[in-house]
Amino acid sequence: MYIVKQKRNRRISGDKIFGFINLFLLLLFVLIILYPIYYMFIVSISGSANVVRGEVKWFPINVNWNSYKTILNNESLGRSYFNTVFYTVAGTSICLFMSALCAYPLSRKNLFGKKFLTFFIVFTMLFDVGMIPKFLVVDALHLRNTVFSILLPSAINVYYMIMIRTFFQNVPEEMLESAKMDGASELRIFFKIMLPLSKPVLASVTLFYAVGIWNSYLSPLLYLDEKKLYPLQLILRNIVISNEMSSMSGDIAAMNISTMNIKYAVIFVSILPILCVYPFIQKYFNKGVMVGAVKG
Amino acid sequence: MKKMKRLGAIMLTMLMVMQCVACSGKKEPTNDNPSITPTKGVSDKEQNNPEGEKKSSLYFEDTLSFTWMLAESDIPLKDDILTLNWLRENMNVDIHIMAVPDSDYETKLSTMTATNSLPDVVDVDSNVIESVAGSGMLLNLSDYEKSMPDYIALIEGEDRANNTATYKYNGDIYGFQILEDYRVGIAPLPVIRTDLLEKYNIKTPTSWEELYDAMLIMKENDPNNYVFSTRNGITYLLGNIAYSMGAGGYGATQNGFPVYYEPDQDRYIYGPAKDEFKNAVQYLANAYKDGLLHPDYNIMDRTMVTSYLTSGTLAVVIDNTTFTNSYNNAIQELYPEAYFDMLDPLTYGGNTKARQVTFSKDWDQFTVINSKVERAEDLVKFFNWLYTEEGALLTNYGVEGETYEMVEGTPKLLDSISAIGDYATLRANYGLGTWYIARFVNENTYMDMFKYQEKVTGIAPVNMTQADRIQKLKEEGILVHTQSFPSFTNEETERLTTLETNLNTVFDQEINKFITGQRSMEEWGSFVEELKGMGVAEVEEIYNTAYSRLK
Repeated sequence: MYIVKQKRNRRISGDKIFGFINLFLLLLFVLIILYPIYYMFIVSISGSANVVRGEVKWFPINVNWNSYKTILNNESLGRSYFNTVFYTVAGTSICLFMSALCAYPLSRKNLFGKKFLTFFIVFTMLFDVGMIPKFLVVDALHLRNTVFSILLPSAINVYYMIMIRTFFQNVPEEMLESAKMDGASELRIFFKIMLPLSKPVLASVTLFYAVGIWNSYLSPLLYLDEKKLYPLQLILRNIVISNEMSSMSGDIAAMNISTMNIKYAVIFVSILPILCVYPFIQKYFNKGVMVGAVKG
Repeated sequence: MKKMKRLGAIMLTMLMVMQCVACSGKKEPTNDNPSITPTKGVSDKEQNNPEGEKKSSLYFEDTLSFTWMLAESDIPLKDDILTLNWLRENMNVDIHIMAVPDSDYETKLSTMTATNSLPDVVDVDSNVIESVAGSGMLLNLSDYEKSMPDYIALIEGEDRANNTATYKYNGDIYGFQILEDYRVGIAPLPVIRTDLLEKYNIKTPTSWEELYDAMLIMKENDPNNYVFSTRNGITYLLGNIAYSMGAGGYGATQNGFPVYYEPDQDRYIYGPAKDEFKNAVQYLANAYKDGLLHPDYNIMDRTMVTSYLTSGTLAVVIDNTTFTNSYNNAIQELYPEAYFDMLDPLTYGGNTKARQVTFSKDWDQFTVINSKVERAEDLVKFFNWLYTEEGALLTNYGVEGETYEMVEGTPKLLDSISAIGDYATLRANYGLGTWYIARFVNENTYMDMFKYQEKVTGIAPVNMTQADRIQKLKEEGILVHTQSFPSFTNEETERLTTLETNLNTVFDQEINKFITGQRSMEEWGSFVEELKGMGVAEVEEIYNTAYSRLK
């Protein structure tokens, strides 16, 4: 009896050690992940001379909010911020609606030519048409330099559409049949049954689309000529990168050392909204990304 | 059912909102069909100048309206700005600025050239002219020479004819180059903590050997720190010292190319294969061994090297003199006595006269006109006007009384404008100076700002004193402008790309081994032979054949 108890104690202490090591390692990972974001924040609120001298490492020095004041006074930043929010909200709505609309018929067993249609759609995943042909199409459709050049060309992402289709496939056929017997039309079934039942996958795909559009850079660069239509990423990248590049040209105009704290303040401000979205969608997220992982 | 209707209504509203936003985006001229839009009917001159007074020497009866694609750096470029408004009111020229992020300007430009959808007017580098001019996409300005006498007079002037000739394509002009009227001098020269020289009683170095000894003394006094470094890696560092040691190539002035123009021989040379190039490599190898060169020299960017310099960790930097003011401002908060300043060009190996190459006189940037524009001649006249005294005055100094005043026949920024003290703001708020619409650049505006700063603080900014020194060094022939590369045919470009890529790959792989001692300097000769075996002679021949076509 005594020996058994001793063994159990040893096992518990072994578990504890394992737990502590795990905790330590996970905390280390959390630190590694959070530090860059924390670092950006402390640099953005520190004195610029301290930042230039590389003194800011763990805590802010000479705390001030000047960089935030500067960027909030930058009118093109404000406008591009609004544009990005608009592109993200409108673009995600369109993408989600179009993807779900495409996924629904493909998820039904009795669709005529289902295999051919699915192959036809999936085939586009294998080849990317490239920048120039895309540009020519957008140009020929007179979408260039309009908000539609950002919203429409990427209205459906096949991969996400397949994810939604797979989720739809798991909705029991009997449920839809009973809805039909009650007189529901296909549209009604789609809006009233399929969509409400598919919240997890829709939430995940929303997040994927939203992050994609929020971060999209190349399409706006190529398709938009008017600055008033530019999203945040174009302005942001320019603020972050251009100083390094222009200082190569040997002009006295490049003499002012770029203020790192302004750069980091801009980055921080631009990632904040999309970071804030994650916690609200996270509960659906795990469920959603597992879709299709297990067939049953 | 009600809910369905509501959903339908929401979607319709959303579509309408998007349509409205889209339409508002369409108002400005798109670049589908580049065209200079003449406004017929009531003359704009009458609208804007009711008295009929013509304020400019050039005035268009029909509004000359066009889109100009420019690179925008971190400072936003606007349409509604002093210079552009003046042009609208006094010349009837309506410029619509299409500001493309500087960081990816080339991507956008290459897409537009590939799809033949260039806007009316575009800013490009010389290499774009070389690759696109043959396609007929760009207006051949040589057909309009009579309409651009001021520009022609400038580029054929004695001081720049040699260099501007290298930018012609098949003997024709395809772009308006950004030219220098006056430029605040900067040069790739060593910048050193002069307060430390005084502290350790070191005579200001005049040769690379003396600089080495000075750095050794600094190291002895502060053994825990290294003494010098650079940004942008080894080729930048090597290039910035190789020329003064008798060779050349790479560095700040050659845009990273190993080939350079050797004035002594009046030909282009592949720098690393020249015997004297070994001097530069040996110098750096010794410095690395003696703990003078920072071991991270190859990966330092501007932020990193600046933080070392301004925290007192490094005492010397081999880079442009551009940033000296900023170093001083940051370090003097910590060490009030600290002072960075440039060294005059250094001699080497017992030579009595130093030689140093600096940036080209003019910019390697051009404004090209789309060949499809309707009013090509008017556009050419307008761009020619930018090179006249009147045009240069407007684009550099702005409007008299608003941004500058005339003092003894010379323009001078108003004190209220000089007080801004920041060129980026001057460009952003008034549309003046470099990196905007000025084509004949006069950087005396910057000097006005320096002078104002001196008046207020009592201390002359170091970049101002350096500018005067650099100007003098140029006049003495010690500092020479780098000569641009000649334009190549497509076949030559293709061959050069292959050869230079191979050479650069091998050079980049091996050079650090010599610096860090992994390869002995005794092997340098065999390394150069290896490079020569990869087509050095052919590279030089292609450059010099292209050059001979210009002579």
